[in-house]
Amino acid sequence: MSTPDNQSIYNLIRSYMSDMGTSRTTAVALKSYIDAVERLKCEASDFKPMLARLNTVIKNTEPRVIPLVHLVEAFEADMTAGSDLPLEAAKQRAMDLLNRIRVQFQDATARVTANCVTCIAPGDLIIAHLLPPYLREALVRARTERGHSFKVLVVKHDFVRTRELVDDLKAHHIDHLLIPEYNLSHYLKGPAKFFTGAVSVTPDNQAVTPVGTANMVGLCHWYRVPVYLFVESIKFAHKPLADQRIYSEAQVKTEADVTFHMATFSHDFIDLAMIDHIFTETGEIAGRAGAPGSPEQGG
Amino acid sequence: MGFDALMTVVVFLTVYVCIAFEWLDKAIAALLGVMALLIMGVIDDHTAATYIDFETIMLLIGMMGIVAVLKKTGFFAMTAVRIAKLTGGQPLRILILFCAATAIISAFLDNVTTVLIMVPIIIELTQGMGLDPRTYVVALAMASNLGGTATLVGDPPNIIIGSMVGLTFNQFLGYLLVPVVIATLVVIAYFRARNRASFLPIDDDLTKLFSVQLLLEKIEFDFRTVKIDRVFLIKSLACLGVAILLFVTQSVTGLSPGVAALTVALVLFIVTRTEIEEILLEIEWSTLLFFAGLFILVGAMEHKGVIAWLAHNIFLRVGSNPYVMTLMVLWVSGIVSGFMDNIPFTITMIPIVQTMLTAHPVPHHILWWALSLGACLGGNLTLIGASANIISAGMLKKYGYDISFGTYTRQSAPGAILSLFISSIVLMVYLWIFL
Repeated sequence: MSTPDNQSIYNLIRSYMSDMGTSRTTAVALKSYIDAVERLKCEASDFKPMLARLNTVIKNTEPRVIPLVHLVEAFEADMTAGSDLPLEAAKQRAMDLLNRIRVQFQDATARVTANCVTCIAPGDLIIAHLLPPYLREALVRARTERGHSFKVLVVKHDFVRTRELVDDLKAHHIDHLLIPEYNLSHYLKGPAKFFTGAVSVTPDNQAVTPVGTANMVGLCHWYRVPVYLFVESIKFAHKPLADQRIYSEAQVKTEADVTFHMATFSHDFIDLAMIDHIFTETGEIAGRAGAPGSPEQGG
Repeated sequence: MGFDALMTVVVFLTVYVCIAFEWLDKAIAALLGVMALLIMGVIDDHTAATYIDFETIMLLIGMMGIVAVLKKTGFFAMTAVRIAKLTGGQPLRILILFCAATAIISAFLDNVTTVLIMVPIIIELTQGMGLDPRTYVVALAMASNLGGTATLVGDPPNIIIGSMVGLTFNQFLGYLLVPVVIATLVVIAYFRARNRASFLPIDDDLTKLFSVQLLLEKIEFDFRTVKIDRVFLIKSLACLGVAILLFVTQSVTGLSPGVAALTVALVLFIVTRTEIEEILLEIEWSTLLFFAGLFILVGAMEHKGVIAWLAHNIFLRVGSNPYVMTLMVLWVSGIVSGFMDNIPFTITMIPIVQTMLTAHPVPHHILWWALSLGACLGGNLTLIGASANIISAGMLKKYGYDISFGTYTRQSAPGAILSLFISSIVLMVYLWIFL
């Protein structure tokens, strides 16, 4: 189902994920869903079909925002009860359910942050590329609450997110150094840890991550720098990597009088065999080709 | 006409043609024209310098300096984001609020700066909602030209008329606010009527509402990455306020708008500790040189008797009826400004209107208001009628929306003609009251 409306939403979600990361995108999408329901004016009989249509759109974004997909599925299941309510009562019920789901998601994210804090030790060199806000918060808490002294090697990416990270580090007096991606190998010979988040983790042992992360992880793996992946269990997808709808775009570009075809993907993927530690809200679950798809681990 | 006058006309027309067909940069064309007159000995350099209206140049430099500092404060971005939130993503509210805000800002700051700030936000908003941004952007450019018409500092033709004729800020506002407000409302209504389907409410579509809410959050998030220095912002807004106050109280203080604007700009640079080199890069020197060159060319034409000849043989042939004179100045200015730069046209028309007024006086500066309304509102006729239109079309293209001369003109021309009709009625009413 691809309409201009859907494409606008897919573009927006992609842009959000690129600027803010998956967790904040999920939170903002849920808030927007609640606000949209509140503003809706329609016949009672149209409400359910409209919810169904929007849920389908949200579940098919490019790429899929797995936490959002899980949460919308939970919302759909809860909404089936009480289907005969009048419009205002049905709207209120939908908003209450979405709010509850949003709070649950925020709680899970907060627990992942707490687990990340425990992975930071005094004297560490943490390599950070595109840290989601909940991992940035972990760095700040390790410094302010635990008083740890450590250094962060910020690998420069896009203007918005790199600046946010540097601003946070500066504001909390955390020792840091900004380096370009192509110079990373110079810093990998000593002890270091690479921290990252992910958009989703798939049952075929792949993590969908922001662009550029796969290169970092590959290099860290080669130099035996331990890679830590922090994800809420709600990010574990029930479908394999091939079904994650990673967005690709072919463009014709002209630079310096040369015209060429360029293909880009919105996200990377990483084999979990290259990840040393995986943390969720429940703690460390597996490392090195652990099986996130198993039911005990949230899949 | 003697040989000198004939050479002046030839040079002047050559410069006009070069500007109209964009064969040469405007400033270079005007200055080359001046050099040609100097080399041929038609005028000498000392006389040429006396033709430049330094009051206009000072006002332009002052306002450009104030705008350059204000742009750095993030004030405009903050205003645009607030307006976007206020619209709630309702298409009609987007049209009304953005047009109203653009018109108000354009009344005090230059139109190009205003559209440079407003157009990207309205494109992102409408594009994100799956709407065609072209309609909104054309309406916004028109609102910018309309708003700029209301005050002495809003649009270059007004700056020129105000400075060269000695009209005050309050006089402009007093006579032009009414036609501008009515014309803006009519233009918004026209856009709504013409594109009714694009402005339907979205409250009955959950997917659209979700998309809009997401978009508004995104715009706000993007804005949060813009750092705002509150002290810097307050100082800058205070200085803009003082400048406006000095314009309004011109009859009490005796300070001309040029002196007021340039003084306030210099004070602003000091209190905000702005690097002067940074500001000098923001000043549009090519525009200022263009003005200077045109002042000299028109001054030479006036000195050689060409303007008097034009006024007597063309404009004064319509007779002494003030209604006919007013309508002719308004519509000739309006139509000509739709197809060529209104700055050289206004500079050329000023001595012509002065000659007309000497021969047949018209009360309450009505002919000047007709020239201002015609030159400013005529800019809305076509894509090339005003700088704000060209900049807006350029920004649309950057976002992947091409708009041709024909498409733009089909959207804007009826609105421009409507606003010229409204101006005609208001000017006729003024004449009926004052005669």
